[in-house]
Amino acid sequence: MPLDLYPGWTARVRKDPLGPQGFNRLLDCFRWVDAFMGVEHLRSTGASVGVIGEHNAAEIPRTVGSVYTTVGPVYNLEGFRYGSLAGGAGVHNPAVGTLILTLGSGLMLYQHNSVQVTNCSESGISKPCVTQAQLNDDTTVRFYSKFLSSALGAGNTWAAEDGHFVAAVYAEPLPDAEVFPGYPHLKGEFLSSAITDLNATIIGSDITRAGMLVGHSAAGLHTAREVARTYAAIEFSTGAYRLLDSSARNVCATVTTIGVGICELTFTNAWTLPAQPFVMVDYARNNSGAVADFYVVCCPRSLITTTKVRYYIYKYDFAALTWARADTDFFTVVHAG
Amino acid sequence: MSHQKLFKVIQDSPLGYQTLNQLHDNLADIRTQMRVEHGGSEVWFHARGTIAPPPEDRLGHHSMVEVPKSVAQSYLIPNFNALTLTPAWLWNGQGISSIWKVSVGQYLLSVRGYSRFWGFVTPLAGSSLTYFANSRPFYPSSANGSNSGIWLYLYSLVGGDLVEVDSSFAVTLHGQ
Repeated sequence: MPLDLYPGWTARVRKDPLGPQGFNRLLDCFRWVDAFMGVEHLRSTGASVGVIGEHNAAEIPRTVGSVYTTVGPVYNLEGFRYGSLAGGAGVHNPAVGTLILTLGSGLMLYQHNSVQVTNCSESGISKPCVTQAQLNDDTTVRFYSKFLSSALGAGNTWAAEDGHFVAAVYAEPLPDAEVFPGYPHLKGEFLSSAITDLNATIIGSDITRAGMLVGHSAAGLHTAREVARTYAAIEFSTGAYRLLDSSARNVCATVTTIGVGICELTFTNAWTLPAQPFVMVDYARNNSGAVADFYVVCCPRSLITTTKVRYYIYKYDFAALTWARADTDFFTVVHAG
Repeated sequence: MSHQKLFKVIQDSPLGYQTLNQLHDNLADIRTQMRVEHGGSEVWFHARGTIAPPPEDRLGHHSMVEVPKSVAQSYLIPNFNALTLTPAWLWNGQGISSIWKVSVGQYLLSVRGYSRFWGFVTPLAGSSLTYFANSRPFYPSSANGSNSGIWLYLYSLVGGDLVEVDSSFAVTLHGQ
């Protein structure tokens, strides 16, 4: 049972005294709520480049989104926070397969040096594809995408490719400042101090609630893209994929076996924009697998919708030096708008 | 106990008990909703009998499995002779107790506090080499022994084959 030191409040009724001690208790309650919010959220403007309510923890991506190409190729952004870059203003494509993503300044990306990437190239339907990342400074991330240019089962040559991918970029927590209007406790004064009066507390609680609503619904459920909407543990067993476990928040509906090394995860809820899936293979329950088995998983963008993600899994043959489609257990975490 | 917008007062405004009650209800509403998907324990006492709440229950921390428990980075640092590189690790958050380099391209991330966990590993490298990475969790109940951690494998494309190599990388730990 969670225990906390929230001061609480005894509801007042008609003719109860409304003295300074009661108001001090309200300040204590506000201070507690403000501190709670500040553990992993930004609470105020001006202290940093972030906005009120933005998630602000090392373990939560600073921004998550999709990078996709259209004819040209023209690179486009979708879903990234600091999204004034939407439309491609923040991307540079100096060479085939190389994409430089420029985000807002002051985000402290380089100190944290953490990125997650899933290659979503259409080539992933027939070939394994990978994207690797490199942080150069606090504002830019370079991505390098490649695909197997050899045929499946006939070689291991790779070539750069302008393709789609999804990325989660982490950063150091930004500087923050509390909303709490401050003490000292009242001892009998009139409520006229600029920092402790009723209005300051009302305004402060409104700011805190507004901050909550930036990344959460009024019921407290996360709505920010930076917090994944759902997750699934998917097992391949007796010739078919099945859901071993799934999110308690947004339960995944089904996993459908499409073919060897191909399955499709269907969500219970439809997102407002296509999802950003991240995937990692599992070993422990894949009884036929070996530690040395090596896989690449791709999620082609055309097969990512607001309700589904399709996974293409490829396995490397260390003896033949070739790739083939294969089945394996895996975990997936899905971000969405 | 739902949120209600309160009016600001001016000098000599009458202040009644219902206004103060509602102000508290507004604060309590934030607290209630934020505890839906965030931990709520701040004292060193817990019903599981431990002296501290598990990380996801700690006050204000995200309590869902979808949020990584920790994010770790591996850096390759040149030795004094600048001819060899030694990995160094940093990590934030909870759940990772140590990271070991077992051999070239093989790392072990030991995990505590979770019965099911996995990691997502991303090579951090420039374009000159093509890198591949996998991670594999091992659970105490598995047939693989009493390990409780995640193997990380890093390969690079060398001469038409995948060869284990060291590289800088980032790994997120998810667990429940």
